[in-house]
Amino acid sequence: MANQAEAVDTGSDDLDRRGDMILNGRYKIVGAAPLPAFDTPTARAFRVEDLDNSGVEPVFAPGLFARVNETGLPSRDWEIDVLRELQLAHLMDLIDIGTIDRATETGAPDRAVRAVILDYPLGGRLIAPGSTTAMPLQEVMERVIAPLCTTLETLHESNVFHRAIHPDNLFVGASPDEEVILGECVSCAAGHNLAPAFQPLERASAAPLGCGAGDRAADVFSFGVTIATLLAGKIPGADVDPDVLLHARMERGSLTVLCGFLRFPRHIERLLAGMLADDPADRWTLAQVKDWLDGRHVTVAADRGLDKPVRSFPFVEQKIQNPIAIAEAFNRHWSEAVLEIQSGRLEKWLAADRHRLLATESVISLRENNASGGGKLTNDALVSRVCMALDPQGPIRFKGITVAIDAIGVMLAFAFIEGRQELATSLAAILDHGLPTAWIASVSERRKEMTGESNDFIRLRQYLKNTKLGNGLERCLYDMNPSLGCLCPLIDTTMSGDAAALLTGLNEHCSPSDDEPPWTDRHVGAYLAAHMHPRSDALLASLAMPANAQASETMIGVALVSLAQDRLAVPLLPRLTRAAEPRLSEIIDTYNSETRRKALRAALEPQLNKGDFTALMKLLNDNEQQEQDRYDYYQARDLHRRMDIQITGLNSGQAARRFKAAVLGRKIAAWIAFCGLVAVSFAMLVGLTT
Amino acid sequence: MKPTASKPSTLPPAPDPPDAADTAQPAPASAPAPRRRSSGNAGGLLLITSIVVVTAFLSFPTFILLVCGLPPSLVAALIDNRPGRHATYCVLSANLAGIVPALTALWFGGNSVAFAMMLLSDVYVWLEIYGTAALGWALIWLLVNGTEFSLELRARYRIGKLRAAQNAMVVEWGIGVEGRAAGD
Repeated sequence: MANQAEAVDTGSDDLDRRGDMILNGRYKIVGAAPLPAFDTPTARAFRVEDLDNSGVEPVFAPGLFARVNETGLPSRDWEIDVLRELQLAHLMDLIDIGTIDRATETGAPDRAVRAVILDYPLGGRLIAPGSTTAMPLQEVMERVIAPLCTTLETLHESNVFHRAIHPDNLFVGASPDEEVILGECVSCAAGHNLAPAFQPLERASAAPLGCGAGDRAADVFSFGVTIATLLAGKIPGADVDPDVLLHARMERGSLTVLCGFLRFPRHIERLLAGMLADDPADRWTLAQVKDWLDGRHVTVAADRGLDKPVRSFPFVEQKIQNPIAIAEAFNRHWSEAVLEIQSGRLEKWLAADRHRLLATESVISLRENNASGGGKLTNDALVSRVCMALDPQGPIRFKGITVAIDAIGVMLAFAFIEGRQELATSLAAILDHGLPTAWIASVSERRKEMTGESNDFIRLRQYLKNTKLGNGLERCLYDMNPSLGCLCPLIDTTMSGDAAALLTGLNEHCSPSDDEPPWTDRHVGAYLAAHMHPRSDALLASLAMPANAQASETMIGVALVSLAQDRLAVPLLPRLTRAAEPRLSEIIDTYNSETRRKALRAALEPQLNKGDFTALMKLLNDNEQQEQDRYDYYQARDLHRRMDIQITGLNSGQAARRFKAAVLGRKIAAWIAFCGLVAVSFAMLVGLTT
Repeated sequence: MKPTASKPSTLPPAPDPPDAADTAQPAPASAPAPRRRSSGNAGGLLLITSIVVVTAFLSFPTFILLVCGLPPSLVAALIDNRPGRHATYCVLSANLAGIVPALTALWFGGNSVAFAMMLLSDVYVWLEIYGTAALGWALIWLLVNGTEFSLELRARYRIGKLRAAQNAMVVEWGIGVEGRAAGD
């Protein structure tokens, strides 16, 4: 939603006071030498000194500058990797990027500071901010459209979508007449710095962070608006309230609203109509733009999205004529939307237009599914999915949140970094309701193209439902943002950039003086599980899980740390193992046998001093021993029960014993008496014969 | 994974299974008692009577001696209705052991009625015959009570041993091994 722009704290006021910052041990970012002309809404620019490899004398690097971003949001890793390899004449060179070493700073900020070292454009920006000077058509065609078309095509071939194309991001080299240079796109999240007018309609309703990585068509749209801005000398719609502008674009089309009041040569209107088409399928490709540049005829599709029904749809005192605008209105008035959909009026209105039969069928099916009960489709899911049916190309809408499917990750990161619990809960609900997979499935072509993404979201939903360590919303966060550092509050952000550094940081954090220092938390567990995927999932599934919940958590923690230590060859972590000791005792205590517990404790002690989690894991994760212990325990219980029965029997068996004694005593007496008889008879016989 | 075998070496040794007779419950009161055959006693009595009658025809002095000496055995046969009739055999054997010297004296002293009567007039002969029969009864009393005492002693010892084993199991496996919650 345009009016829900996030207030990302860049921390820029502190930067100047912090002095110099070192990036990757080579580039000194001079805090006292800001370059405000190269600032962006999310990053500040500074001069850079290149510390050469000998490290003796810092060399001022006039050809470089740095952009420092303190939002802490994940970087665009894929784009960075590609851009480091690419050397394009009309794209600002990316020299280096990384997290700033805070050891050189005086402050103690709580979020990662990322800096990017860039090639300094000697000519500055193409147009100064706030400039109203229009560029001649010929100059725009020669200096902007032609070179950037080629540059963007090359980027798109590498599956990199720039998503930061706007006039402020166009620079000039040493000669003022040469072709422009497109600025960088990696110092902020995709589309974060784009004004609402530069976002294509299918993403414009989302918050800046929620616009997503986008696609080729999104870049073409931004490029088109940039061309219109350069030609008109002002940003289209800049003087209009963003919400009003968005509503107007939905109702009347982007081209009409953004360029309708501007005068352009007739020749260029065709180009803008092609580039600003609201349906991504109708929007020109860069190849078509090149064809247009070469003078070939390129067809402009009629704007199908503006087929209006005979009458408008009344909703919360508005008369709306376009399904996309209805979806947006539903998102802003969630509870009213539920009643409206359940009343069935929407489907009747949609059915009035034969072009909207598919949407009508979808809405009817969803409403019936909701009405059938059984909790299959909740009211929230109903409204969100109806919004999808109304605006299939649009973002996911959920209770006021509007987010593109490829921006859920970065939005979640934003929610966690800024402590926006409500936003995090809404995003969790989006995942939990399976809305991303529903969004993918809502268009048949998309269903085939995005099978992988669909499976990923199904997997994320499973993580979300699992509340154990290494899962939950935190796991989704790190799974969707591989470049995001661990947000564990226990350690410094510079130590959280990768799993190995995280473990080292945790080890250093654990002070031996603390009684029971926390050695891990949900963020650490989720971070390690996400970065060790898919091995982590297999390991967690095969884990010998103790019956006690707390011990299970510890077991998972040990498993994940041991996996990371093993796979990443992390050095020994003696302080971390010592800190984990009280928790490890809980695992040992889950064994029933005291003998086993004693043996485990004895075996554990040397490993605790050593700091080898892999060895700890081997000791504790013994499925066979755990099973044997359980088996022996149940055997012992059975034996104890049988002993109880025996004791009861013995206590109450006096009568039986008396009976037995009577029989046995008499029998013995009979034999003794018989023997006496024989003896007497024998004695008599012997006495008489002798 | 299903364990293949327990490892009892680390556990307290399981006590020997108790003697079935030690823990045997007495038959419930409601259970019908086995019907005793009265023909057993009748057979015994018939046998004794037959012997006595045959003896009376063959050797009257012996018959006199037996008639006077065997009443304790007859009484025992009449009152002993336990299976096996060991009391009868015991008293009969003891009774006979007391009669054998008198019979020997009779048979080797002419085997006449007069000698038999002379023997019966001797109080020591009576003492000997009835004393040995009483000894038979005393033997029964002594051995029954002695056996009962030893069985009781053995049962107490077994209970103590089982309780000790149970305590060792609680130490090894915790209070849960008792099969009830710790607070119970």
